[in-house]
Amino acid sequence: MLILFGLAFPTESLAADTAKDIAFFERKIRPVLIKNCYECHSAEAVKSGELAGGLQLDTRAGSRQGGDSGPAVAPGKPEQSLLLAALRHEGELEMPPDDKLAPAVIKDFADWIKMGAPDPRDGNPVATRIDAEKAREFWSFRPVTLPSIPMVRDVEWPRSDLDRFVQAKREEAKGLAPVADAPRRVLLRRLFFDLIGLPPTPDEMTRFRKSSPEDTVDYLLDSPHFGERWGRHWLDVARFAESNGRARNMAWHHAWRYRDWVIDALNRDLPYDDFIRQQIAGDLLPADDENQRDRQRIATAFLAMGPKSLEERNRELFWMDTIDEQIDVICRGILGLSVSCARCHDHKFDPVPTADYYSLAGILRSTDTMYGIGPMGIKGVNDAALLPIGDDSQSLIGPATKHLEAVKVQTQKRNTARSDRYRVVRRVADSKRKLAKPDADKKTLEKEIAEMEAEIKDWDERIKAMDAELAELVAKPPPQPEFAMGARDNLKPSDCEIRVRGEPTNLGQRVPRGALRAIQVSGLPAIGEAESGRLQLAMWLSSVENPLTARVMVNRVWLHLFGRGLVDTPDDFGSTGSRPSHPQLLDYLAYRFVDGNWSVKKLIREILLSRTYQLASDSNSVGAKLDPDNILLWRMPVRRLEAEPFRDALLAVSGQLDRKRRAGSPIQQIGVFSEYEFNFKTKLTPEMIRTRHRSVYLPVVRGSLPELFQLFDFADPNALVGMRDQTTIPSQSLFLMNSPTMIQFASDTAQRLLDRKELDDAQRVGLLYNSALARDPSSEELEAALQFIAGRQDLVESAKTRSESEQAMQAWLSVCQAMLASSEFRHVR
Amino acid sequence: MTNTNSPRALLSRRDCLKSASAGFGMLALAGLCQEQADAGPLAPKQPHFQPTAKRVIFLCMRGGPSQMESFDYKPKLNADNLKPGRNNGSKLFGSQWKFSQHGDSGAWVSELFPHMAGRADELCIVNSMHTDNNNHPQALEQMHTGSFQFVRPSIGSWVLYGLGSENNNLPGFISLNPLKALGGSRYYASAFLPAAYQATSIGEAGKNIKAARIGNLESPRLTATGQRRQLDLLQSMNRRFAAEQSGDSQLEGVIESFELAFRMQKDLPQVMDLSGETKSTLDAYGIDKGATDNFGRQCLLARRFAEAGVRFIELTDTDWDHHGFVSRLMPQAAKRVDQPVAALLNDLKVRGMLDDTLVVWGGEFGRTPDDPTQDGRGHNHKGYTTWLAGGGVKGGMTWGRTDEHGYEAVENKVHLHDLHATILHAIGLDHERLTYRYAGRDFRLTDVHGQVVRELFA
Repeated sequence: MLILFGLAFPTESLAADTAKDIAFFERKIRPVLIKNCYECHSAEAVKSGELAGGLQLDTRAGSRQGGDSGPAVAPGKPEQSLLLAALRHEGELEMPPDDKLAPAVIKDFADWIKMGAPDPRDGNPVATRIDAEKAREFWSFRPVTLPSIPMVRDVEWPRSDLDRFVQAKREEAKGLAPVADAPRRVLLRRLFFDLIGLPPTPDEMTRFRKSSPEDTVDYLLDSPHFGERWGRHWLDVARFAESNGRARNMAWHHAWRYRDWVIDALNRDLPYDDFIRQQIAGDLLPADDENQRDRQRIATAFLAMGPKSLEERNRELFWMDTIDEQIDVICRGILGLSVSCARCHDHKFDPVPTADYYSLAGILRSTDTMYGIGPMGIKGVNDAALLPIGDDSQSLIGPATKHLEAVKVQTQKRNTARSDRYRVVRRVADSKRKLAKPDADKKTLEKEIAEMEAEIKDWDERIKAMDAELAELVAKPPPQPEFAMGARDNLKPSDCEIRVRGEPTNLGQRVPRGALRAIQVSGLPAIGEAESGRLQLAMWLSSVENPLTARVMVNRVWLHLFGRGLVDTPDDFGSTGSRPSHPQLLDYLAYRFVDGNWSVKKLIREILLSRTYQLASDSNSVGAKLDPDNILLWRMPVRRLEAEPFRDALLAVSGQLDRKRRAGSPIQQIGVFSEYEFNFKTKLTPEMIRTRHRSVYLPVVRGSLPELFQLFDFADPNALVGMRDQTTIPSQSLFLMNSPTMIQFASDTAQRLLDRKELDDAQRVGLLYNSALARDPSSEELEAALQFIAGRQDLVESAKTRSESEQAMQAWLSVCQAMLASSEFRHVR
Repeated sequence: MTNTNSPRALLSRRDCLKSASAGFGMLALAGLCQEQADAGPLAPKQPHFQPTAKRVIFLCMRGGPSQMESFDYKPKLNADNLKPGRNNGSKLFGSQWKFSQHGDSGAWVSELFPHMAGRADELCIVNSMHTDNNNHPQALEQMHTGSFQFVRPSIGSWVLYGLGSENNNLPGFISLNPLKALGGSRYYASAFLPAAYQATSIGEAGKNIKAARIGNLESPRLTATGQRRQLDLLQSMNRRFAAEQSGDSQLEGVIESFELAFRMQKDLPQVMDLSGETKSTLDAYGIDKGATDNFGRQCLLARRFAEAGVRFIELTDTDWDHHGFVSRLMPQAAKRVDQPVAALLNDLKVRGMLDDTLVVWGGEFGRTPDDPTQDGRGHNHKGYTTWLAGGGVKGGMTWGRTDEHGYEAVENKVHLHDLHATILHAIGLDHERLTYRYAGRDFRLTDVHGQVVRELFA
């Protein structure tokens, strides 16, 4: 812990310690230390990574210098020696952790300290300081350079330099050959789902079947649906949600603006460095007009989206938890670095000392996080304002804020009255109990009860009046400005003290605001006294010299196109993360990404037009044996559709999809105020969930996700999710077989087929296969479907009493449902 | 890496690949991972060591039951009744109910719990529980996940992750009448653990379990024959697709999963159907007897799920937050659960299952010994009672104590983290070794805390 305590302590002279004292130490103290303490508190422990509390007890200097909590041994002063307090289990530290030492042994320690803690053990505690220079040699911290294009044996195969990197690596594995290219219809379906998250319609199939992949890719990159698909990938990272989650779950009525900002940013191909800068410090960036200023403010909602325990009564803890969450999402989301450990101790694995963590914390502590109002009826919740946006916001915000405050005051006043009334009710009950006793003073008690009952009546009237007043207040709000969640610099920016062991009130050294020292970039302006430092943080994150930013983003893009990143831990590029399978390819792409002005669309285009991306998904025995996980990219893996493209495909195939953007969010409809929390179970009506718009527009309420999202591995909005789970659980199958949702989709699909009166059954089956799977059925598949439809009599109860057309409908519905539930429909080849 | 000691380690394929350095040398290891991954996340796994319990039934008393009215006898509190209490403006408030000693062990139990008192020699009563927060939502979250600050996996998810499931036709972690309000869904969620470890919920807190139905468990449309025919059609499509993409275990998994779901449709309603139970069993649990009906049903279901091999079963009773009207509400609450819980213990014992079923009873915290109004009690996280029974713990034992009034635990204190460590220990899992790598770190149920209370084991 040299970082905390600065310089090593001078070695004290041994002269004062007499031989007798030393003997006492050798006999009574040293053996106990070795037996009970060294495992976690010694130079050895530093080496093994087991060092606890930053305390090294195996040297005199180390014992006196102490650890995170302060000096362990204060010679001559037992009462100031933390070691003794810990042995006695007096303070919060109780050592050894398993068992208290015998009283006699503890007394030995007390005596030893009293006699001046004689200690012959020379030497200094070993450095636990993180070596930033050395850390920069780690692969992900090295500068991104353009690697030379490798030579390959089979020069015919590669179509691009990207392919050459893949090919060169693959050729290292003897006998591993790539599979054939994907058939055009397979490739088309893949491109549609990967780029816009929707299946190609039969018309689109016809249109693009004959044209070049370039044409298809450009068409899809230009589609407004591109942002809906790729924006959602970023929303997973940004833990986007429309409620704060946690215990008192309050609606975030304005979160959708950030969602739309992300979608738009992807659609207009906002350069990724700008994309990052605006989310960290959009409010501090220059803007040409009000509109742009507002857009950039909305982007900062990235910082406000984290889950929050609004009811936490310890304000300081709430604040530091909020900051911790922000540091986590910035560092893991943008840099692929997990630094949260450094909240309590220097990061064990990566070059992130605690001091750096609190440098970042200082920036965020100098920032107001604007996430919105808390429950009206609870005093002392952790409220925050919102950012008013729009031309008229300046004039409207005053009255609106005043009104909000009035509602809150009135609600709490009414609640206080309610509890005052309740107190009387309890006193009445108490008196009545006394009255029931034989020796009760009936007269007095009865009088008291009568008085109190009158008082209750009085309360009832007053509460009724208060309710009415509140209802009127709520019903007549002044004109409201538009609001956004986001961030702004607070009025008094300041540096932050290290929180020793992460405890909010255990203050250590104050550290200057700034970024992580392990990554140095040039040209950053100093952080002025009056500013938070967020602008500098944004510049540092998005600098071309930051080696992690581009690598991490390139890897995220790769992950979404191949089902696995070149680095298999997309949120961890540190020492505990995976190493890249193709380090040179990663750098090649990262370099080109930055060189191409951070254009995400350009990056995606380059990958999609490679031969590697366009491989078939077929497997073969050689590949399955040599590289079952396809790390060397000899084929395209089969990938499961995530919840949203699955649902969107259901909407599309059943003819229900409304391709227009849904304006705003249904969350806006559930009312602004809530007394304790929003009951989303009842507030989110089925109509809101059953929208025909694309799934990215469904409300994302923490703890109340739509059933289909919950079951099909939607990204948990409480956490940053770089890579979604892919589970296969029976409740998914039950949903696919039995849920009203699936039956409705199947029914709509069947109706669509039956409405095509000009088609015969075989043609209908053909149409179903083409719209759902972008291919014709084989003759066996056609036969199986037709047979199923022919044997329709025993499908449903009382089938015999139903009309022929109803029976036909039920049979078609069953076939369509099987199609929509099938693996092929739910996967992309 | 997780849990490397056991032959069928808790190793997902992703973990496995994550930990191996990339490059060609790892391919052999990848093959090894393949075998383990194919067994599926719910396949039974070896514990770390010989367990004393195979499953856990957790009886969650939401609201914070009063220890002074149940298992923590405080004669001094009664003697000091109405003397000033520690909390502002409050007076000490003795218990209105008599305590007496029960069983060979002589455990003190309040007269409100006569049936549980009758099982005193099976109870291991911990009177020295303490936890970190005295707000309901946060304390409940910590009780379930170990953390009130961050979203973490439920203890049931950890158990299922550690041991897998013993029944192919049923979920491995079931929560009956789970809490929905105050962040409830997170108490049973798997957080960063794979979603397969989350609880299957049945019913909703505060409602009678009798009316509960599992989502999508039956076809609203097709006859049994019709459904099988449709499934055959679907599975033929799935098999063809899986064959084309030869060797994709995920696609094979989908086929399996449909068959399991189909079986669950049959098995789950059967396990939940109490009509085959005898009248005397129903009576013993207090089913159809007013106050005891709901919790009685939950307890009987718990026994049936336990028999069927479900690993972690949680039941909830919601109303233990008695700020006022203790004299009325406490007897009501006790009545709701006392007889059913005792019946469950008896039933498990008669069937020889108490030995390897750990039953845990308790709330998110306890209550204060003082009160300004003399008919209620505040929240108290510094000292409260939880009891354990079966599953290898010592029956007829009382562990730890609170101070003379019951403000805080003072002797042999057991923190909630210690309880979690102890529960895991009973089922053969070392809380320090049951880890999951997430966001670059190994996470544990007990974070960096927790000590197994070995004295509780026989």
